[in-house]
Amino acid sequence: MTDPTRLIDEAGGDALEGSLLQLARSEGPSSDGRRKILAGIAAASAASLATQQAQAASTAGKGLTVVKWGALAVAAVAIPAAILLLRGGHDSPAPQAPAASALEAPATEVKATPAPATPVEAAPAPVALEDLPTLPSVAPATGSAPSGRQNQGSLADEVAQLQKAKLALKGGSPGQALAELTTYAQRFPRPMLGAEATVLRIEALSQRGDAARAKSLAEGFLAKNPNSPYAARLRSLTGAR
Amino acid sequence: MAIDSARLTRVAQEHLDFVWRCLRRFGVPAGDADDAAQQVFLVAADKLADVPVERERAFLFATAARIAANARRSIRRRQTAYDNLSQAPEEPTMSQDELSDQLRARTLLDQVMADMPEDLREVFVLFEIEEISIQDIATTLEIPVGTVGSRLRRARQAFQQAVTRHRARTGFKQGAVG
Repeated sequence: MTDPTRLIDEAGGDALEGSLLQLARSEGPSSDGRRKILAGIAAASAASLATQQAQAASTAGKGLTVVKWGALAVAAVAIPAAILLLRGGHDSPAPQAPAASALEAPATEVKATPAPATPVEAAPAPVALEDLPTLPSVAPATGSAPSGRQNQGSLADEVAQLQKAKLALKGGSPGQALAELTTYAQRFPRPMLGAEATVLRIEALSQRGDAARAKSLAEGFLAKNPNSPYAARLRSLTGAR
Repeated sequence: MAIDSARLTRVAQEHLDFVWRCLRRFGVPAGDADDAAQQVFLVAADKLADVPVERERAFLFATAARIAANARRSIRRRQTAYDNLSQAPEEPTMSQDELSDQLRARTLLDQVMADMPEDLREVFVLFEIEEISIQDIATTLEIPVGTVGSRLRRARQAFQQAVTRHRARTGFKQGAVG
């Protein structure tokens, strides 16, 4: 079957129709949005990989050290790379290659569990990891701070723990998400991703139907962080001012 | 959740624009499209291992359509809640004084596409906007080529009629865009 001429290419076609189609074709995420989306995907992927490898190591036992270092290496490189991508809007254009290349090496070791190749039903959108721009610096400038490696590993652990909460939310289990967030709070008393954890908690409370607590927590958060990138989302979700 | 990170990264880089546009044309507001696009790839990540490379785009399209449908339901719920609290405007008013041509065009585009039945919209988006061949659309949607052709004809009629209606209602002038 020969394809018909597309409307936009038809001689003597309607100008407004052509303009609308041209507009539709030209749309896309902004360069900043693109960077955030790709960085968020890389961060989530790295966190998932680190978690998988740590779990695999804990069951295998024997190769524990090697695999843990592998997981740490992935997270240590990919997550800061994702952060660099996210911060690119404020600095020089962010390199995207490091995040990708950092993820390539160990990827062959991880195979997905067989599952039907059909799209899954989308869950209500929780806070996305692309919202990581509020992350603090990975390597503080002051000399008394922990070493870069320690800090990056801790950040990977935090992302992995928050990812558990996020997945629980996606799966429609706000109670489980709240439990994961409680674990997060216990494991990381001085968190680097405190804002993200709070927003996830608000999402979980809201999803559980605890609107009053969600709103109260959101109002507290907004009072301290009126210009947070999460502000619009929280106001929309909870009605907080 | 097991993820082939290298493949996911490649797929995201290759198909992000396609997914983003599909989400928009399926009714996801511009302000929510980045979140939704990321969600498409993270939701798809689990299943990518079972998707042949040549089917990646079709798989992402189907995932995007589902996520867009969920987003539309969410928007309708919010709109219902809003309507219950206040009197919603009967018709979006596009003031030429307040809105740029580009913004009015985008609003019109959203409305025209929203008016189109979903099965027609799928074919229209893939053919007229994404410039995918009839044969490939048939493969993507897993429907006969003849059905694609039939839907495309009806989609074009719907598109043209919607544009005509909007033009009559709003006085939107030809050549106002661009």
